Amino acid sequence: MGEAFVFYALAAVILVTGVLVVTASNMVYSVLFLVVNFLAVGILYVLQHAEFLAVIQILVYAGGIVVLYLFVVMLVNLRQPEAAIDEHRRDRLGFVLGAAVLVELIVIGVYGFAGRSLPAGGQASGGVANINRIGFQLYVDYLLPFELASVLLLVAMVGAIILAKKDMR
Amino acid sequence: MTLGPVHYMTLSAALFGIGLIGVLVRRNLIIIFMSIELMLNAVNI
Repeated sequence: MGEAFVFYALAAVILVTGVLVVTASNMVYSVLFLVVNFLAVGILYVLQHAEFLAVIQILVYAGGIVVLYLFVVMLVNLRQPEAAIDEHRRDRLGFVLGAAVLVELIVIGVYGFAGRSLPAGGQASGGVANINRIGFQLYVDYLLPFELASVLLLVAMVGAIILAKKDMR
Repeated sequence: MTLGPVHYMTLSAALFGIGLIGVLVRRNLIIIFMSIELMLNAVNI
């Protein structure tokens, strides 16, 4: 029962901060809400007995990515409100479409799986066995997607370097 | 009510939808990137 309470509290925090990230008028506030969101997701991983994943979540997301965003927000300082007005953007249509997908996904989540029993996710035992299982999943079961992702990241990195160095040829 | 995978998937779907609305509605590039991060996180859950 306590676990369920923690889950619902965390879910509320995650959803509220998610909405605030999208709706906040000041970008710095938006980034700070994003930090809270990532931390709550990290705690959620601990609740699922995935401690290693939680640590990585805190390190990479709450540490790396948020610092990157803060640097960009504070250094670049895009002060023009909401950028240039683009006539071709359909904000209303975009909101309706996004809301439709949101409702659809939630309906599927609530009713679609009601009768079926999903394969109970890996409630791994904590500690070293946890990391062990992640390693096996990454390098044995899903080796090809893993390597494809690494090649994709390498291509992105080379492309970024070429774009940045374009005028120095 | 015990916690099953359905709970986590519902939360994940809701977070993904919020991120999607953010990408489609906001004009600010940085906010759009942050919404994309939200969606990636949702997939992680």
